[in-house]
Formats: sequence, structure tokens, C-alpha cells
Amino acid sequence: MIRNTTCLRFAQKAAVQSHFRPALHQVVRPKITMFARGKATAAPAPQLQQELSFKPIMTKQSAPVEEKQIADSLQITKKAGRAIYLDMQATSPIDPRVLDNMMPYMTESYGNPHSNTHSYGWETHDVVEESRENIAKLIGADSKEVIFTSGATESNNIAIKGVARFYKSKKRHVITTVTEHKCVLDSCRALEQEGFEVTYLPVQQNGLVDLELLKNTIRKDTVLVSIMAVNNEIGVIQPLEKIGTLCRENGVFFHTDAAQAVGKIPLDVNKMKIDLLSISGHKLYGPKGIGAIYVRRRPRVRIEAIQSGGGQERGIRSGTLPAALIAGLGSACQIAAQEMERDTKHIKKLFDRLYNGIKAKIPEIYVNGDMEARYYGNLNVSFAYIEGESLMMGLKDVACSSGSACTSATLEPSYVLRALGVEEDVAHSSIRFGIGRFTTEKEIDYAIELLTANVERLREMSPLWEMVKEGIDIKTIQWSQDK
Amino acid sequence: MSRVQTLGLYRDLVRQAKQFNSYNFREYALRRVRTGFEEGRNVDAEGAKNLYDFGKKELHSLKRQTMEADYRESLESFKPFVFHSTALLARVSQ
Repeated sequence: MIRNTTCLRFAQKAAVQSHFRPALHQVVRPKITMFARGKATAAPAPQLQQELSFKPIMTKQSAPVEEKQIADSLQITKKAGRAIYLDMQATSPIDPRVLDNMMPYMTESYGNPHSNTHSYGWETHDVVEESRENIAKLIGADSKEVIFTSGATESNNIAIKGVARFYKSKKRHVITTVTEHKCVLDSCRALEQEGFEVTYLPVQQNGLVDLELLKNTIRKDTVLVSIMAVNNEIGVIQPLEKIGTLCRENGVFFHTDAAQAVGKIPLDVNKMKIDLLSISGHKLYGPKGIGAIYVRRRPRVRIEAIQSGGGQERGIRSGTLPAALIAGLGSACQIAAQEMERDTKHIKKLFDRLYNGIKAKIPEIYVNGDMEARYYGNLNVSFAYIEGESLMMGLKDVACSSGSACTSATLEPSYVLRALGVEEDVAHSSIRFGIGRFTTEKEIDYAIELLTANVERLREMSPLWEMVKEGIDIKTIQWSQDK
Repeated sequence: MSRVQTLGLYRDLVRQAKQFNSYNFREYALRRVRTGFEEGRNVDAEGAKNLYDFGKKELHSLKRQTMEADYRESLESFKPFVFHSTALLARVSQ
């Protein structure tokens, strides 16, 4: 049996052969001149073809060469391993125990859970109900209040649009924060198009919502307050119990997008007075493509359905339930409930190691978000006086995310960091590390080493850093403007 | 339920956990087995029996999980994205 050599061996080799590392990370994009005189010429420059062996996008190569490249890649992966995964907020690996629980429903037990005339349907129906029970237990709810959706995005859409549209004759105001996930902000924008009024509350510099401000913003015609439990970019935990109490006192529904929080911090919908809660499967070591929404029944929250169909899931979300994915989500929740304490201890240990390691070796770093009210699996750090893109290029052995949206089409820095008041240049050079159940100490140590090496290298090259070292205050400099 | 049985279970679990191909899952499984046994160190007889049964079930599950990766070795559809230069391939294969 071939055992994959892992990123660890790569790390050891890297320590010895680090002199060639910069060459590894120079991504040279082949020049493709399109539409030159009506022809698309796509051959990369000759010297590149010798240097790089990844397939350029538009070159057509013969089959044997392609196979050789794939075989080479696999060989490299087996020897050199893949990047260290430190991006747990983007998604998480499926726990092997979860996959084991999903397998029967992807192979032998393929019935439709709604077929109640034969055993194929009955067995899948059983697993759906069992998963519902497991999810409800994790958040302190009743299983009748859990509805399966295709993910937290759909759950957020149902919660915000569904609730607002149902009560639209009497209530026209919705409150949310500026640091919410894009799906929440976009749903609110859609409501604005329909004539609702939406208030986007600003957050304090530590990322937490100001309760006084929230209290003063709630009006008589407010129908919903939507504030996420744990922020995906900076990791701060909002004071859910206080917000819930405030909303209950004023007769306003409280929705929280708990995609990053479920299974990681203890949640109790009754203690925290939450009326709607969104769950995402792939954030808690489950499969992608499944999520759930908790909708309170006492006092009843009414929702106008977004997806029309056969009336499944209490009419709120019609469609055949994917039994395999639901089995995955249910067992992920059950495992999370069982492992929460152990995981919290492990993750806190790794967080301390990572943070103290970075702080000891690199000066002038800023952690974005409150340090105490934080889910310790998320560390978002900004490195001053270096350029963000180059830092990300240097960190290719560690799969992490940058705070800016450079990796997507725009060059805008992240709106969450801007809402915290972080300046644009510092926001561009921020990195988010996600620690999870499967992260090890050695991976953290390697990440610290690589980060230190790259930050030092970039700062050596930075004239701003030289000025700072000499004691010049950058803000007092008058930059000469172009005439 | 004797000491020999418990140690036998521990040995089986550790041996099976080492069969994972993936570094992260392997390390987690070893850590979890160790933590599980440490927590069950000072437990009364009934608790010990429950933990033993739980361990046995997890052992069966672990056997299936480690076989899953083996089964996938032969699949050709897994093409990991790797940037590399032929220079690196030469160095790494030494």
C-alpha cells in the first residue's frame, strides 16, 4: 500500500532546500495574444515551456504528453505532498466518521425519504428523522423546528426574505450589520428593492455590535434583526444572549447566521432567545450542499416559502431530501456535540501557539477583531508595511485566505476589515488562518516559519519599513504629487 | 472486562489508525484514541464497559474508513493541482 508522503516531509525537505523556494512560487503566466489579426495565438514563450510543466490554458497537447504531466503531478504529490490546510472558515474536510455514516445512503439505501409505501423509503426516512433529532439536540431545539436546505446561503435567504415578506403588511424595517456574510447583505438589498427599509448597523473597532445603538435602532415596525453568531472573516463572537433578550423585549424576530458557530461554540436557542438560525454542513466537517434552518414554533415564526413545490419540510422548503447528505449533516452534528470540549481545548492550544509564535518573531502585526470574544479557530492578522499579494504568493505551501478580495475579480479590500476601520493598505496585507479539528502542531510550526521568512524577506525590500525603522512617522510625510 | 482486553483494544485501534493515508486524519485518529483512553482512566466498572463497547464500534468504523482511502488509490480521476517546476521534481526525487 502506497502511503502518501505528506506536507511534513515536504517541510523537512524545504528546510534543507529553502534556497530554491522563491523559484517555486514565481507564477509566470504565459503571454497569450488573442485576436491578433483575427487569429488566436496561444503558444507560450519557448523558455517557459522548459521551466514550467503545468499545462498552459490554451495550448493543445497530444494525449501521451498530457498523461505524462498528470503522472508527474501525482508523483510530485506523493513525494512532496499538498499544501497545509489552514483555511477552515472556507470549508472543512469531511470527517472520516461522517463519510462512513453517509456511505450506505449513497450505495444500497437509495430510496426517496418521502416514499412511504416501501422499505426503501422507510429506511431513508428513518435516517432523515434521526439526523433532524441530532441537529436539534446540538442547538437545544425540538426536531420539528429543523428544516433542511441546500446550505446556509439558502437558509439565510429563507429567513430574511421569507419572514419579511410574510409580515410585510404591518412591518417594513429590518436591521442587520455591515459585517454580515454576502448572502445576508444581498437578501437585504433585495428587500430594499421591494420597498423595505434596512438599517446596516456599524460595528465597533473590535468587531462587536454596540447594544445601545441596536436598542435605539429598533422601531415599532421592525420585523427582523439579523446578526451573525461568529464572523467568518475575523472570528468574533457576538453577544447573542443580550441581543436575543433585547429583541424578545421589543417583539422583534432574531435571526442569526450560525454557519461558523454551530458545533464549535455551545448554542442554546432557548437561552439565547433565537428565533431563526442558519446551519451549514460543510463548516462542521460535513458534506457540502446541505444545511438547515431552525424556525421557532413557540412563539410561531411564519415564513413565506421561497421555493414552491410538493410541500415538503412544512411547506417552507419543497424538494426531495438528499438522504445521504442529511445523514452526513446529522452525524457531523452528533460528532460535534460529542467532541466539542476536546476540540475547543485542542484548537485553543494551537491558536496560542500560532499567535505567540507570530508575535514573537514578527513585529508590527495587528490582530483584527476582539481577542477575548473570539472563536479561537480563526486568526486574522495584518502585517504592516508589506504588500499583500506578494505575501500570498510566498505562502503557497500553506492554504490560507487573505483578508482582501484580491483572489476574486476585484482589487477591493475586504468590506469586513474596512468596517472595523482598518486602513486600505493594511487591509490588503492581512491573512486569515483557520484552525480546526485536524490541524496539528507541526503544521502550525511550519506555517509560522514560512510566514516569518516571507514577511522578513518582503520587509527587507520595503522602503517604508526602512523609514519606520529609522523612526520616521509615515503619516507625516508629504508625498510629492504628479503635476 | 480485564486489563488485557482493554490493552488489546487500544493496540487494535492504534494499529488501525496508523493505516490512514492522509496525514491529518492519521494524526487526529491517533490523538483521539489516546485522549479517549486517558479520559477513561479513572472510570467505574459500568462506565468502563460502555467505553469499551464504544471503542469496539469505533474500531469497526475505523477499519472501513481506512479501507476507503485504499479503495480510492486506484481512481484516476483525482488530479491534484500542483505548481511545480521540473527542477523541483528533480530535486525531490533524489
